Amino acid sequence: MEANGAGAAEAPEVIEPERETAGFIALYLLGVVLFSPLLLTVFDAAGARVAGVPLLFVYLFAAWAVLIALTAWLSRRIDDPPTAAPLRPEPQSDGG
Amino acid sequence: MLPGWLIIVAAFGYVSLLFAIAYFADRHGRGRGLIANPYIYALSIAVYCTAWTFYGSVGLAAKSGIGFLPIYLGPTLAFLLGWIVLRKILRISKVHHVTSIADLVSSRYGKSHLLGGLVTIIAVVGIMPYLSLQLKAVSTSYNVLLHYPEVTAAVTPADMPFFGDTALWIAAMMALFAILFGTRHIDATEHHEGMVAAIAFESVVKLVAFTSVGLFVTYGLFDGFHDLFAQAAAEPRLAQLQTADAAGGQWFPLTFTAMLTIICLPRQFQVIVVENADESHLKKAIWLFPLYLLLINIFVLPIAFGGLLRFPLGTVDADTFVLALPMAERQPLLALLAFIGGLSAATGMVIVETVALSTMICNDLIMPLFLRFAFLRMSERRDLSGLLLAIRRTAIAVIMMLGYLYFRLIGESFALASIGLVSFAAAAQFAPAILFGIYWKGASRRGALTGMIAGFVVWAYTLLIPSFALSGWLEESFIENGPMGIALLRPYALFGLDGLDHITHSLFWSLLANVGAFAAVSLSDRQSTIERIQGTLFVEVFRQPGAEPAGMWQGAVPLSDLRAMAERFLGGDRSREIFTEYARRHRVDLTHATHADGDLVQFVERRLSGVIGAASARVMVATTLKGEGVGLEEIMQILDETSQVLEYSRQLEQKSRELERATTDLKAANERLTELDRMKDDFLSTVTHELRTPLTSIRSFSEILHDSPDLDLTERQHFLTIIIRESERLTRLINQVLDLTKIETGRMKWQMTDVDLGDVIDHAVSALRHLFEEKSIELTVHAPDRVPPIHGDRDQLIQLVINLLSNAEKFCRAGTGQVDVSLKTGARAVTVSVADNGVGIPLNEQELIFEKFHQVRAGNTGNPMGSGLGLAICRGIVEHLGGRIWVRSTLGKGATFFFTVPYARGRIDGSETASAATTEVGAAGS
Repeated sequence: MEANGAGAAEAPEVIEPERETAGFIALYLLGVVLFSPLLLTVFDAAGARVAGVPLLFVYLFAAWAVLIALTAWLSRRIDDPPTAAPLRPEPQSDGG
Repeated sequence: MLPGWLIIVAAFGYVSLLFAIAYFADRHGRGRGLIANPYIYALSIAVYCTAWTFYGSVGLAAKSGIGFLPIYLGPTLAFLLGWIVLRKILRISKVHHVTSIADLVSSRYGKSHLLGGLVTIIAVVGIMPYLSLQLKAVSTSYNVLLHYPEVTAAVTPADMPFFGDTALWIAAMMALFAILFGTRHIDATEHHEGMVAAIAFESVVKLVAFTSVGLFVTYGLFDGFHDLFAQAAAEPRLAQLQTADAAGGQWFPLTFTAMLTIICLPRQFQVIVVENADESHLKKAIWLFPLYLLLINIFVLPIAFGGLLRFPLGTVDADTFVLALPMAERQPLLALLAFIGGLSAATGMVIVETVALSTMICNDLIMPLFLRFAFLRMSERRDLSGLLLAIRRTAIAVIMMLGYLYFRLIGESFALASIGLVSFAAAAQFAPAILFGIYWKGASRRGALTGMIAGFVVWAYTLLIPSFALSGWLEESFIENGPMGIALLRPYALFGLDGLDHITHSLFWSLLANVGAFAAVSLSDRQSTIERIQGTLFVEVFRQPGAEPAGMWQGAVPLSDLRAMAERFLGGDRSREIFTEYARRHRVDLTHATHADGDLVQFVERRLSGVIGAASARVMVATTLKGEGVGLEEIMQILDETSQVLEYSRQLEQKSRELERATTDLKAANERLTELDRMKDDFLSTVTHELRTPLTSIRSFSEILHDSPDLDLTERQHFLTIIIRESERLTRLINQVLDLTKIETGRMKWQMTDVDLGDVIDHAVSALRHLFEEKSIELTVHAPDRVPPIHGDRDQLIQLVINLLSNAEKFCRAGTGQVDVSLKTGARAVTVSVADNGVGIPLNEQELIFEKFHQVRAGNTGNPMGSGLGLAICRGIVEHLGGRIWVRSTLGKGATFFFTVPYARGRIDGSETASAATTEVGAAGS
């Protein structure tokens, strides 16, 4: 039962936070669906207007705005990577 | 009212402002966070919006309604994956000091010169239409503005004399800017703060200018959005543009292409990857950049509809609406602002694009050729940094010249957007090599090479060459009937694929050829060692956080050689900086070192690759260090073979170890079986022997009785008594054998209850009392009144005590014998002892007497006193109840047998009441 305890010890360093990765992929798929020609035809109702603007135009820009807002919300949840070692020497780093 | 000199002054004023910003940023922006922040970063990525966006989007919207949007929705989608894909490319590029897209591809596929050169050529050829588009847009807008307030169709520059052509002067001015701020340092991985600042500023200007025109059209010319769209809907021609059908079949292919090209365009790679100062800036840029795209596109449709409503059909080119609408409404300042906005969009693109392309040309095309063909001469030169800068500056000038030529020869025949799309389709050819490269270790150099060549050839055949034909440089019949009349090879309907627009058609065939060839060749290919190393480093870049992989250069290299080589390419100061940096980072003192180790060589190679590209740096280092040990390929080959052998022997070793283990196990099992077999034999022979003794005596006495009928009665009686006793002994023996077998095999049925041991002892003593009285042996019992119950089988326990008592009785002398049974309650168990004053048991037999059939020969008679199974049964019972049995004895002074039985569970202190005990029985029974 406890024989496989040693196997789990050497876990690779977690570099990519799974949650955000999944979130961004989900957002991307949502974007693909929102901008798919099929959904466009749904909102392409002749004469349908929102405040005088054709529904199709309103839909496209609204969907776009929603995607951007969701991306912004998701990107705030990303933790700063702990492994972000300075790959480039800082110009004014310590002299010693 | 708007004289030509004013336009020129405004344009020059604006460009001077750019110079000032760039100069200031270069001087003061470094490391201050003024330039290196996510907002400037996102704005610099907006260099994506060129004159195509500024003028061409409106032109496209006037033709296909929402058809202009895919170019901006694609990058939005790509940036949704930005944190995953772009960050990976960013990290790879930082770790490997990648300077351009050609460098990235070349580095990934084993630092291949061929691939780097190919990417450069495709980029230069593919981007040329895009550059000419910018020149065309600026020169057209200038010429339109010149006729203020009269809105006319564009003047064809071809009518103008060569030196009078504004486009030429514009091209020259842009080249100058690019040279001044794009080639300041020789290390191409270093940031061009000035350039980035200028581009970010330009992004703001073009957004403000475009939005101003949009607001003017929407709220100045019309009464807001609803009025504008309502008026447009009233006209059947314009009403059709408000539907999704207007976009036609281009929607999906353009979205897809734009998604790929956001990273594949050399200038986008430059601003997103090379100019990136901090990976975390990407976090904000992934939504700021799409937001910018959204904002700059809001007024595209209003301006397009406004223009279509305002101007009679066909009188004004829709590409110039942004400029023409303010002019027609006599708004000179707004028209000038629009012109500056367009100029801004164009210059931003041209500057970054030429800088990116010149780096590629220098590092991945010219330097490798120089190193290959004229290496000896190169090695004689003391300082090559000047030469590098000269190559880059010349490259910028040449690119601009080529762009201008393309514009003069071809550009006139097409709308802005369709020119740009030709370039997009070319840039998309890099996508398979990059994306496969960073996610698939198996992607091979030959695969990338074949894929890219196939894609590029198909692209050229289906888009570039026909555009020459349309411009009159080839016969039109080439398009109509195919080359030499082969209809199957018509460039706009390859293999009979008809009915698609040219871009979609070309994209389909070129990407099919590209990905197909790439995958097929990669799958059937064998990668070289360096390809495998680079492939692993790229794909698993997040597994090696920050650390540079171990050096591959073996052996010691004279430090002076290394220093000399670095100085030639980097110049003295920069070279010294690098060595100091290495010493500081690795905490080593290089002042007295004579030889450089593999790490240092690797370090220098990386820095060098930032200047001359990965492939060239590798050749440089390899050639310089030639003769110092074996080459990389050989080392890797040796290592490869060695590791294979090692792996093989390791497996063999493991196998033999397993075998050994199995053998040991088998041997042990075998021994155990043999032992069991022997024990069984022993048991059988002993049992047979024990059975034979009583049987023999029964038989012999029966024979005597049978053969001598004249025996007197007393004699006969005596013999019969013996027969009966021996028969009883035989029965007992058989019962005991059966009991023991049951205990040992676990088939004994135990009646487990809570048992009072005192009661058990009383019972056993009363059963045997008369036997003791017969032999006049004194039997005493010492037990407390109350004994906590133990868990066990009452009958078996009585049997146990009886066995011990009769055992004691056997070894006591009649008359003087004394047997004492006592019971003591301990902390966890009850201990019962049975002590006698008989002959005792020798020390060496004290363990053995509990074995089956082991008998202590009594005294000097040698007669067996019992079956030899009694004590074995005792041990079986005690051990089953979780107790222990042992004996203590001094020879001649008697022996004391002890056994313990633990209390029933939860009954340690024995203070529970009887009712509690019954419930405990119930619990124990479950």
